[in-house]
Amino acid sequence: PNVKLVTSDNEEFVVDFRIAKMSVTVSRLMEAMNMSETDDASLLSNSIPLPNVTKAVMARVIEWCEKHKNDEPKEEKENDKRGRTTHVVSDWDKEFLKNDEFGRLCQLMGAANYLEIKGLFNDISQTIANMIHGKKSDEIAEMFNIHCDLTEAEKKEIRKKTAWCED
Amino acid sequence: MHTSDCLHIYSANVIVLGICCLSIQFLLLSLPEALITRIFSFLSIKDRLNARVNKKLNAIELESKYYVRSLAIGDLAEAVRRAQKSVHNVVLPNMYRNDQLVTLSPDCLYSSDFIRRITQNVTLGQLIVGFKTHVDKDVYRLLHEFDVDFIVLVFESNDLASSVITGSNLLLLVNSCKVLNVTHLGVVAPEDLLALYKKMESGTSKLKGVMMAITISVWKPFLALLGITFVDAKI
Repeated sequence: PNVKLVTSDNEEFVVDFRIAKMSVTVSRLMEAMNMSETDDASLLSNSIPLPNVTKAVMARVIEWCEKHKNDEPKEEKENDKRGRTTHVVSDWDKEFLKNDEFGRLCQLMGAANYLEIKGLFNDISQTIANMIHGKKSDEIAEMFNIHCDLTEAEKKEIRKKTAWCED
Repeated sequence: MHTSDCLHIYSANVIVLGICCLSIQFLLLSLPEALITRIFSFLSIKDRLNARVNKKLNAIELESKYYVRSLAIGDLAEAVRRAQKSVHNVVLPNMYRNDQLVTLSPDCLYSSDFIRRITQNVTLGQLIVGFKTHVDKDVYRLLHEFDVDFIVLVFESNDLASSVITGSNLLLLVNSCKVLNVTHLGVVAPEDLLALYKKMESGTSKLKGVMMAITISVWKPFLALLGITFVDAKI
């Protein structure tokens, strides 16, 4: 069975029920609208509005979901809840995100967050974290083109305080 | 999750991208704070601290709580090596296998303000402090501001330990951590041990275990204070 998703720019995407279910948000909306896998009429007569996602971003999200629709659900380990979050980005996912310029990546992250697609959300979070990892403050500022609004004194203080911190 | 305001931010960005040069600046900073916090959660302490490149990121970093399994302050490797030579009870579980061990090197000048900054939003598994040539009392006083399970204090010598390991200083730590491991006894008297014991025994302290090298000259009077004497191998 198929589900209709409508983006902010009024593009309709028809996706497999299984794909639609990968988004917690879409799942909840379908439930709220009494749409069920076994009730074709409910699927045909309704569509899911997704006002926070554009056509271009939705296409990327669906491409990711298609690839991951047969993934085993990941078990959350108890001891994973503490500590630094770590996530292994698979080779396919690396390739998938490789060519996204940063703005696109942020939009995709916003969409994954809104749609609540955890795997994709973690992929992107980890990818952006990897961009920051190991860089000095000025390199990070340059990479993201962030204007530094800290005063000279504040900057000096931060430099002094991070100088002696080693991984 | 709170993303209701995302749409406006993103649409604003699309316009910016459309009419002027491609800049990713607005995109990172206009991500909702929850998402920036999320990205920070994937970073090590050093990366987090380096990422505070402007006021907004500095504030977000400070507001997001995080957990570090192991933090070492001071010249640890050297201090531990020496301590292991002289004392056998230094137990440092998993520390060298731990990718989250952060070492704050003593080779650079550091300020206790910086350590205080870390105490504000970090929860620690273990905190290892090595005092090699001198004891920074400001650093010592900061120990009880940490939210930590296990504190290990490694001193180069008992002389060094004596400047901070006193009865009253030790009692200050009873609500700081669950287990305290100190390589040297400093100038802790049997009466101090008794006070410590009472606090732990009453169950009111966070501290549940202490690992210390206690010599017979302290043990004996401590046991006597408890009413235990040992004569001719009999109690």
